[in-house]
Amino acid sequence: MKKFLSLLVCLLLTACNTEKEVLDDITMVRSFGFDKYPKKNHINGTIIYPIYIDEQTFKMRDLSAAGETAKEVRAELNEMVSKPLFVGKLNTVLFSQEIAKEGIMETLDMLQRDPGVGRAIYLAITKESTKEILTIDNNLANHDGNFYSSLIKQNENYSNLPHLNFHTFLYAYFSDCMDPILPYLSHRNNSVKIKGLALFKKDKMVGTLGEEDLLAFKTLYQNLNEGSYQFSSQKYKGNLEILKSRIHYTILAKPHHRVILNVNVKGRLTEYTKVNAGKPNVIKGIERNIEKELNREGYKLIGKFQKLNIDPIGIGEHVRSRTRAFDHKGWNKNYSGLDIKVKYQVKITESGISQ
Amino acid sequence: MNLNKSKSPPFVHKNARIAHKLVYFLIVGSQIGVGVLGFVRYIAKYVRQDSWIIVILGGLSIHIILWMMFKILNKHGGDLFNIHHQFFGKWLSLPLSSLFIFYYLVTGIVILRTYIEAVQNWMFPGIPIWTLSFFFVALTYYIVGKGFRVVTGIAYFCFVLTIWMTFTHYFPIRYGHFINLLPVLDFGLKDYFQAFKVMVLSFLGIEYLFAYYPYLENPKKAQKWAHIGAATTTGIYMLTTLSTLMYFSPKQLQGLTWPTLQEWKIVTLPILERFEYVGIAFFAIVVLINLAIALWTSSRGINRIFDIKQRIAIIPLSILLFATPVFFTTRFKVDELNNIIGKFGFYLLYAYIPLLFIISLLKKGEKT
Repeated sequence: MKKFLSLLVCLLLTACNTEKEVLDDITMVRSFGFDKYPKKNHINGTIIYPIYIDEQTFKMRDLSAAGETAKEVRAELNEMVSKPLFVGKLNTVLFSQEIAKEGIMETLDMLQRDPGVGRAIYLAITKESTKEILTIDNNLANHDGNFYSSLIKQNENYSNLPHLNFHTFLYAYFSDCMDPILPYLSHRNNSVKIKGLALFKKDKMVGTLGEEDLLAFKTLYQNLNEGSYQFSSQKYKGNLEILKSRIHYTILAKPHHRVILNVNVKGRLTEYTKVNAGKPNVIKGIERNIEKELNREGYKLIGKFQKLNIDPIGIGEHVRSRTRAFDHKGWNKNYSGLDIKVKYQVKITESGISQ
Repeated sequence: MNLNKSKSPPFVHKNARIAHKLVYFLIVGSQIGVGVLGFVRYIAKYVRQDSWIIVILGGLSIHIILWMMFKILNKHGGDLFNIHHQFFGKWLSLPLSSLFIFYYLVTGIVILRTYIEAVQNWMFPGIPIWTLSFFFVALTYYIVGKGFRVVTGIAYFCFVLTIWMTFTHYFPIRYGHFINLLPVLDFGLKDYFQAFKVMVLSFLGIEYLFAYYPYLENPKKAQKWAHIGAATTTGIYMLTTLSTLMYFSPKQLQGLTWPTLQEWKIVTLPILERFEYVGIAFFAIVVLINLAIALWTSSRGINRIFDIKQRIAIIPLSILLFATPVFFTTRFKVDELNNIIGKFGFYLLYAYIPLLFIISLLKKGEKT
C-alpha cells in the first residue's frame, strides 16, 4: 500500500509540469511602454525583450501594437511573437506624458492583478513617446534590458531622486491624503535623462518638478543618506554632499491649522569657489546661506503643491497620524489654503580634503 | 460498536507518548495555518492601525483558554470525549463529541481548500483542485497512519523548516511607514469587538489539545510549553500585523486577498528575484502539519466514541478530506466556509470551553 501510494505521488508530481516557463521558450518582457494611439480610446504598447542568438549572446528587440486596453495590447503583442509573452522579469513600465495626463490606473490594473509582476519594478513617465525612448540604441546602453531600471535605481541610491517604485505608487494612490509621483524621463543625446518628477493627482499627471528641485523635494519626502545640493549666491558657488537628512513634523494649533516640516541636514562641502572654507565662522555663514536657500525652495515647492491641490509628500498622512478621529475629507478641502512651513537646519561637518 | 469506550479515561502506552516539551511544536503547528497569509486584512477592516492591539488581546485570551483547558484536563484526566461522557452522560455526549469530530475534520478541509486557492491564484491557475488535494491527503494519510509520535515529529520538522520565513518581514518593514500605526486607540469598542471576533479564526488550533492530551508524558510540565507555544504564535502574528500595516496604506490593504504574499513581492534577493513563489511552496509544509493534526484528532475521536480502530477510521475521513474541497469552487464559497468555521470556533473557545470549565469546577475530579 505504501509503495503504491508513494508511486502515485511521484506520478502526480510529474503531472504538474510547467514546461512552458522554460527560459528558452518564452518571450521575457523586460520593459513595457504605453503611448497614446491616434485612433480614439486606443493605446499603443511597446515592449523590449531579449532574443537569444546562441547560449551566451542575446540581442534586445522591440515590438509595438495597439489596442483598447492594456490586456488587448498584450494579446496583440502575443500574436506577433513566436514564444508566449511573460512579464515575470519585467523591470520598468513607462508611460508617455500624454497618456499619463488621462490617467494610468486602468493600465496599471492589468499589471497589479498579474501575480507574475513584482512590486519592486520601476514606473516612469516620459516626455516623448515611450516608443521613441525604448527604441534608442538598444544594443549598447541597454544590452541586457536593465538600462531603464538601473538608471532609476542608481539615481535613487546615489543621487537626488526619491525612492519610488510600483509599490510606492500604489501606496500613495490608495492613500486618503497622499498623491503619487513618478520619475520623469526624457530623450537626450541618444540616451535617456532623468528630468525630474511627474506629479499626479490620483492617477492623472498634473505637473512636473524640475531636476533642480529634486533634492529639496527628496529631503521633504523621506529620510536620506545620500544626495548633493548645488548652492550659489552672488559671491560664490558650491556643492553640498548630503550625508544625512532627517525630517520630522511639528503640528501646531490643532486641529491642523499649521504644519512645520523640520529638516535636519548634515553634509560636507565638495565644491566651494572661495578657498577659505576652513574657518568656523565662514562655515557658519555658508550653513545659514544654504538654510535660507533651502527654506525658500521648500516653501516654493509646498506652494506649488497647494496650488495644484496635491500632496505628494503625504503631509496629510502625518497630520492624520497625530490627530484623533481625523476628517480626511475636510483636510483635503482645506489643504490648499493651509499654513505649511519648511524649516531647514544645515550642519556642515567636513569641507572635503582641502581646507 | 462499543459506545461505552469513552466512559473510561484513555490509556496510552508509555512508549506511544511524547515528551512534554514537544507540545510546543504541536501548538504552534496547529495554530499557524494559511490564515497568516490574509488575516490582517480582516482585522484592519474594523480597526485599521490598531490591529496590533487586537492581536495582543487575542493572544492573551488564548492563554486564558489554554489555562482553562489544562485545568479541566488535569482535573478529570483523559480527553474531551471522556470528559463529555463524565459531564453529560452517554447519550448526550454522543452528539457533542461527534460535533467535535466533525469540526476537527472541517478545520482541515478549510485549510486545505484555502491553500489550494492561493496556489491556483498565484502559481497554477488551471490546476484542478483534486490533484493538489490528493497529494496532500495522501501524504497526510501516510503520516497519520504512523501514529501520533510521527505527527509530532512532523510538527517539529515543519517548525524548523518554516520559522525562517518570519524574517522576511524585514523587507516590508524597511519599506514601511511607521506613521501608519498612529494614532493609537482611535476606534469605538464595537469595532474592537468585531475585529476580535475575526481574529479568533487565526488563533484556532489549541482545541486539538483536547484530543491529544493523553499522549503527553508529563501533562503538568507540558502546560508551560503549551503557553510558550501560544506566545510564539502571538509573536509571529504580531510581526505579520505590524509589517502589513506599515507596508500598505489602509485602502490598499483592503484590496488585497493575501497581503502577506503581496508583501513578499518586494523581497528581492541577489539570487532570487521573486520570493513569493518560494513562500507559497514552503507554505505547503505549514498546511501539511495542520492537516495531519486535524486528521489525527478526528480519527482519534471516532476511535474513542465508536470504538473503531483508528487505522480504519482514517480511511473514510481521508476520503472526505480529499473530496470535499472540490465542491468549493469559487473565492466566495471559500470565504464563506472560512467565516462559518471562524464563528463556530469563536463560540467554541469563548463560550463552550468556559462552560466546561465551570462544570468541571462543580464536579468532583478523577481520583488518581
